[in-house]
Amino acid sequence: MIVNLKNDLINTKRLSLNVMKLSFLFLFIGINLCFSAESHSQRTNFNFTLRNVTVRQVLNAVEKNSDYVFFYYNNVVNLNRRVSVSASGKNIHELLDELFVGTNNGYTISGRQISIYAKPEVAKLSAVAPPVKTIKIGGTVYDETKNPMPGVSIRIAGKDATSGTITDVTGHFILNVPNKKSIIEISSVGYKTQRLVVGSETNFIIQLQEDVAALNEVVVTGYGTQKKLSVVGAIDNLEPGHLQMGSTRSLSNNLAGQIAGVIAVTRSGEPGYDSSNFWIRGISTFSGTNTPLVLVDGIERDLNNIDPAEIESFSVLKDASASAMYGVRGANGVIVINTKRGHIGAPSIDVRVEHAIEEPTKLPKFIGGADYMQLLNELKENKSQLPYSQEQIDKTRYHYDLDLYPDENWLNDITKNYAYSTRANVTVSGGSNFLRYSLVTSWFNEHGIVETDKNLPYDTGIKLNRFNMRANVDLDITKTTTLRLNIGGYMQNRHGPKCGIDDLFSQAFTTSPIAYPARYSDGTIPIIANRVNPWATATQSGYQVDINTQLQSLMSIEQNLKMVTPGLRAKFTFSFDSYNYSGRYRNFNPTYYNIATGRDDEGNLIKTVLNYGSDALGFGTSSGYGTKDMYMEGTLTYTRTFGKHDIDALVLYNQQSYDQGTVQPYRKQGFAGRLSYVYDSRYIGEFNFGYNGSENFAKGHRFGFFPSFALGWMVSEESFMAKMKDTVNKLKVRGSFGKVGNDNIGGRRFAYITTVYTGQGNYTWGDNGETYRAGITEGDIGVANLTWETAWKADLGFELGLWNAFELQFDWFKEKRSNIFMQRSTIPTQTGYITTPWANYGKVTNRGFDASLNFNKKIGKNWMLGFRSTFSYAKNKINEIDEAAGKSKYRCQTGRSMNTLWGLQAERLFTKNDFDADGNLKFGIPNQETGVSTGKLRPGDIKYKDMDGDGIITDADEGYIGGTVDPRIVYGFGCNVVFRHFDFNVFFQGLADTHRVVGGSTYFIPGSGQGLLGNIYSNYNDRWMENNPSQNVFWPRLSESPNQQNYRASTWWKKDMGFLRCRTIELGYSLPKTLTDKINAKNIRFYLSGNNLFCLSKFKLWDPELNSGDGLKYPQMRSLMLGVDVNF
Amino acid sequence: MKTFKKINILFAVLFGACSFSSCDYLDKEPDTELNMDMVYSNKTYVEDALAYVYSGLPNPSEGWMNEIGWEIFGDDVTPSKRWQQWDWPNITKVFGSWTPNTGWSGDFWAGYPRKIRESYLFRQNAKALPSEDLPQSEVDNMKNECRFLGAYYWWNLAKTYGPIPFKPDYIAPSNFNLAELQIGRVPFDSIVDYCDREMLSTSKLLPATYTAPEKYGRVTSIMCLAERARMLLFAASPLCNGNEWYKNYVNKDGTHLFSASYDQNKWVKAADACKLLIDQAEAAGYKLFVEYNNDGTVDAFKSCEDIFFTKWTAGNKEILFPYTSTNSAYNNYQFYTNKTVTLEFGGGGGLGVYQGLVDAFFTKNGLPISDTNSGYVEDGFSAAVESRTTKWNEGTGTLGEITAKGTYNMYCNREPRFYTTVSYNGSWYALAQRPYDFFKNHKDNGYTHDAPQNGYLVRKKVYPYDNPKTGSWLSNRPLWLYRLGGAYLDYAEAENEAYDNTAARQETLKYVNKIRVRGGVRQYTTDIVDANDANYIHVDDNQEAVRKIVRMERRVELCCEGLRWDDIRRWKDAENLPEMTGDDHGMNFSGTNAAEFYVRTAYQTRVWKRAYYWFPIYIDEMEKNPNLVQSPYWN
Repeated sequence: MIVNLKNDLINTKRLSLNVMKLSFLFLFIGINLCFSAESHSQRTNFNFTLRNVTVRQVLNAVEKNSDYVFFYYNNVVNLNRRVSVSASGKNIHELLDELFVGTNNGYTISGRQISIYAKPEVAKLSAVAPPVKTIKIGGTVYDETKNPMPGVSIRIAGKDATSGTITDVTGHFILNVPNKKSIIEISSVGYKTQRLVVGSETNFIIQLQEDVAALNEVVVTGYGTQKKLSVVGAIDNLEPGHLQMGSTRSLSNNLAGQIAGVIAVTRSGEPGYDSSNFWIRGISTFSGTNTPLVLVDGIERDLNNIDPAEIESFSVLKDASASAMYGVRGANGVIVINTKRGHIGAPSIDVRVEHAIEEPTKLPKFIGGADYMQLLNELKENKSQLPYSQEQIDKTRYHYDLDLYPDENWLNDITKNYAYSTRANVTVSGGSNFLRYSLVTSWFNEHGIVETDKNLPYDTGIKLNRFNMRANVDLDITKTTTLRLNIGGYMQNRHGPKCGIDDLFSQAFTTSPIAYPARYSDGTIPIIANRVNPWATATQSGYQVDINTQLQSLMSIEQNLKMVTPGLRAKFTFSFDSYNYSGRYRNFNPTYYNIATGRDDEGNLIKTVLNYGSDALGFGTSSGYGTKDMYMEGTLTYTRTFGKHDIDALVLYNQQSYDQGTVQPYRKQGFAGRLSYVYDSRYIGEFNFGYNGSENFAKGHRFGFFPSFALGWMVSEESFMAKMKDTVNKLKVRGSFGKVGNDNIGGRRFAYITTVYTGQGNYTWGDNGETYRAGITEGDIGVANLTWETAWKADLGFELGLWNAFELQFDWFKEKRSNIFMQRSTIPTQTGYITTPWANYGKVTNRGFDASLNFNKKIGKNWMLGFRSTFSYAKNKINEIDEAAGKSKYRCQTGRSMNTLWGLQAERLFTKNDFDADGNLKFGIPNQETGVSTGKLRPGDIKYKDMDGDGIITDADEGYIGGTVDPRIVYGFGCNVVFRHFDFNVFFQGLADTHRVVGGSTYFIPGSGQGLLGNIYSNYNDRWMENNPSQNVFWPRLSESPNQQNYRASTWWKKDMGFLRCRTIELGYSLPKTLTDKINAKNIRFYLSGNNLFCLSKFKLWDPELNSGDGLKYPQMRSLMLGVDVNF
Repeated sequence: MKTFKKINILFAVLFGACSFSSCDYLDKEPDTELNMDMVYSNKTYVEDALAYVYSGLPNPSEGWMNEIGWEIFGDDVTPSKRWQQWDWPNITKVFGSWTPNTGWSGDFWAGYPRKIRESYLFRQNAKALPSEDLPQSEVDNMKNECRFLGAYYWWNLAKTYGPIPFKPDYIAPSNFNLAELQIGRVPFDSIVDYCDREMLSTSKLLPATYTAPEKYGRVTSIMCLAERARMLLFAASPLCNGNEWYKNYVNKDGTHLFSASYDQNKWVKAADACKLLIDQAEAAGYKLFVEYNNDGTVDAFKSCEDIFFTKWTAGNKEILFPYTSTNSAYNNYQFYTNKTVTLEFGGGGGLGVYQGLVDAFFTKNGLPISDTNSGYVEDGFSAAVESRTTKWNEGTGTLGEITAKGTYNMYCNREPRFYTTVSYNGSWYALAQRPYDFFKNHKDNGYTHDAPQNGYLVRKKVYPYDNPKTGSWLSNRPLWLYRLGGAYLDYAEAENEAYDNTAARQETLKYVNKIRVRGGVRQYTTDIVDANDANYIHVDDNQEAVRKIVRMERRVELCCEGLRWDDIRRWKDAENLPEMTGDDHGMNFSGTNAAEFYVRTAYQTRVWKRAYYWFPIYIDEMEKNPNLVQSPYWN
């Protein structure tokens, strides 16, 4: 085919070479792509004869019989002129000379390319005017990645198009210019036009820069990138810099409030276990998992163990158009993270080091031993049998002898006041014209607050070290072929006491302050048999080391198939990850003493040994664990612009095998595709689909088709908006609708196969246990027609940019899940199924909105002001769940949010007026049959509402009391100010519409642990008392033993756990350039930041974000951090 | 251009690799994962499946004590109340903290239907495997074992919840119709009738004993007959036989769930069943476990203690229904023992007995303490050591000595079973080689929850030298769900109730006396004998008098064996027992000296509601099944 260059539109993207015959065999079931290329050989002589044919036919014949390609402008050559040519034995020059004789056409041959041009007018005039001397120049044009660019227009400024030429496939051009003062213009669509004065140069090497303004930003979307302009899905991108915040290990801790639509909560601060729970647009299913799919470089990987320094882009795909391509994996939304890649240039080195000092945000406060005893005495009803004598109380209060009259604050005993963390990154990146690299290494170190015993020769404290490394290399094997190799991974080493940390905190609550001292003054450790000494648990249990390592690898090869058709690319990716866990422990058994009974004449404690310990540490290993993950992907993309038409298309095949040591690897397989069309940067349409399968279901129920559509209108690009462009710099309206699936069905695999449970219900026969049999029973019953869960998602959004400073984005969404994969729950237990059968049952609607508002403005020379904020709201509703018909409405989940809190409706506290003279409830007040274990109801006990109206309060009056633990609202806002060398950053984050029923344990309420169990919260006097019969108290009537009337879950204990947290305040200072230049650095910045500095909440007893009903968990940390960032 | 070609080939290969992906990529690998068909084709797996059905047998030690709780719901043993905060949630129930939704770890409701289903599946699917040494006869035997166990589990459900939803011999399919699974309660008697037939039928198909030692513990005809006899006794008892409490207790369709009228014939059936059991058991070699002194007299102390530490193969032929699961020493005896051994030896030292049980034991001469001829003195202290003819040395540490000088009189001159059942202050603590010291802040009473809350610890079934601290345990001991001694007393009771005539009473006394002889107390007779007769005690020849002595005998003979709860229920007796319904007494735990300690003192208060006779049904189960009514008095 001959290339037509219409007018001055330089468009070489339609270029194709017939010399390379490429055949594609592209099959949907199993891609089979095969190239067969006939190597061209240059033949010098032709052997054809043509009579009375057009010039066009001659040129065709030449191309057909040789490797040559013709380039010319349409209006330059008269293609319809009839000629006869005998080419036998002629070479190309002879042939063309003969062809163009008598015309004004000339030609140049450059390699395989033949450019036909009109001989300049001057040539014609040469007969009458003296010949003008021209200068012949040449050169090569490259793009940013040093690929030669064919079809680039080279013209002389001020002359018409015919004066110029275009580059050939190797990027070369030759041009005659009038003189040295001539200016040549080098231009290509999507690139910045360059103008060069010819001067004395005759051989130009030109590199064109991509015109970002024209292309707009490129954003990372599902399986690739798209121009920001053409994005019509709900996709949010977080600047990776915002993830470099705080002093914790897990990246997920930095999500809350930063991205509209992401709901995240940090439920624990324990090193190694402090990852947040996060959901994209809330929770939409009550089965399986709710967590989004997280892809790092396209591979499913853990979010938490990437160091922020490794990240180049972070995108959240929220709606169906963005996530439909992930088919059965995409229903919960997708987070796409790409790691840093190199760019051409000298090595750029960035070193960042930060060190933080930390303390708990908030620990519960308990009262001391004397007050503790005083209260128990006060609660004792039989005053003649007071559990504690006044002498004992006084001796405890005045610390007369702490060995015999202990007064422990166990929470203090098990925790240190401060802990530390350090993070350091080194990033090196750069590249040449064929190799680009990015190398990141980071180290994160964190100490925990669990107390250690300095007398021991070894350290049992919590220390976590994580090393991350990543090397991403892009290698251009040929000018159109890029090989990528990513090798990354981490090793995390956690050292800590050999005890469960949550368990330890819980022990600190359950052990009473007067039980015994943490250790006697002579160094021995007291304990009561079968009880715990929390300090000893923390410090004397030995230590354990857990090592997690992961290797992440990825190899991809990308071929630009512009020789087939411009804009076409093929890519093949292969990746394997492997993860390993190993652990060992060194357990320690100290010598424990029974409680001392007194002191002997010499003042020594009288005590006996309970357990003899050993100084030696035991040794054991935790069972190791490993996974491997293999992934393969083939992609074909096509991106091209035709005038006002932008087309972007993608088809993809992938398969994954994830082996975690279960019966067989988890497998996935599927296709995905995208077709995006943009007209004149104004109207955008997009179609996505995923077609993939899940091994969990029977053939025929395995594969599903998940389509989505999206439309967008860039209102601000309309001509009628042009006048307002300075005010409304951006206005985009978009909407999407589509279907996604979820095959993560929570534990049950191969749902169509009936399983067998082994090792359940063993028995032994024989008088001496001769025959032991482990027990076998039927397991899960296979159900043939089970399939995945389906989600229909709709999204409407708009983006508004004002004055080039404000950017507002708003999205409304609605999602309907159906076919939720769940176990039937209405089958009477009497039926005897070992496990109740599974079914696709249940519907959930989730709706809400998310918005972000950003503002950035440079004011004058010295000031930069920025503000950013997000708001996310998501509320789900169960439309259908397998619920017994016999349930009263207040006990039904249908119509409520998932995980709605449960309990009784507390009306108020009983008052004296509710009882008659005998202390019985007056007539008409529902009898409270809720299991009062001691004595009768009294004033000050909680009065519950009779929900079923049967005149009596029973368990049947329990129901849903509204509110969920998972927040419905997450928001964040902050600002940054830059003034000359100083920068100041502040960010707040908050949760709202989050509740929790606190307590629930028998000894949560002060005094109910009967002196044996439980500490007493410092607000214990905020209670109902006979002399303070207030309804507005935290605690109801306290009693000497557990009072189920009061401790059971009810609205009384339902607390609003919303809060607003000052997440970070940072002050930075960058050294002036005059100083940095002296040490050849580009930039040096010092910064001081405070994290989690304070938290405003209605709930005061402990950090409201903790996942705890009593506050006894490893808390989040407040930290003060000093850092330096040096860039060479 | 050569590179081009290479890359093209590379791509062809890579994409070709993708096409390995046939449609079957997602098929489960054709591995050999176990399925139910394979289970029934392998002898060991078949036995595994059988073991699952057997695993429904309740553990008579920790199970009855803690998880199921029969032991503590009765009025024999009393655990330290504050243990409820640790690992013993059932304790709260006896103090009234019990609603339909209160958790119960025994959870028969969910557990037994599974065992029953699997027993049906086993009977449906098990087949002979001649090549694997599993002949048809053995398979048939196994199926009959399953058949009995299915019936036994149905009965356990009915005994616990009353008239249960009952659809025997039905295996719910996977493509069920929900309405078919919503089965309502059926009349109690029809469940009993079904179980009666099943147990009787299987008793005819199973051997009375197994010769192969490894088969000991498999279901025998005797087990079938024993459980049948107990069931019929229960069904004939006042709770279920014409109980006016339940005359309005009906299903939603109006069906009466308990027969409203008394049926004397139920007692006759029970008596016949008991007699059939005893005859067949004795014929098969089952007999009371008795140890003798050198002079040939019965050594009641050793008999009553060693019965719990002597296995079948070591000569304990009294065991009718052995529990042979040995996999958990904790469940089988360590938990129980731990709660009785004092803190000094690593135990919890707080599992006592009710004063009512202490008072229930006869005196040395076989009379209740209330009898004026019993010689019972409560106050004061013994002036001398008391000795009897026995090889037992756990009275004072010296062979034959029963009580030391200075023992509180309440504990002196009591029958042997008292001494093998109760540890009282001053009794011998073999493990410590000293007497117990229960005074406040003395060795065995740290005045905490891990101390004898009412001045007693249980001694029955506790091997005296078991030491939790050193981990020294007697592991070679039997466990059972029923023994011949219980069967004798069942028969005695049923016979007396079935026939109000002298002959029946003679028969009753004959079997009560067998127990009393072994227990080392005088026998009963309706003859007129002297109050001080060396061998006999007179009892009036009327049904009421005999009923009274039968019940007294059951109380002391079968105490602490998980049976008392059933007795007080079926006699409708719980609300008449002060210790079940109000203040519980014992010695004064707060006493620091004898004067303070030996005072009957209330240490806790129990709550009893009539609803407690039958377990309640969890509310969500009620909601699932529209045909279900709640257990009586729970609404």
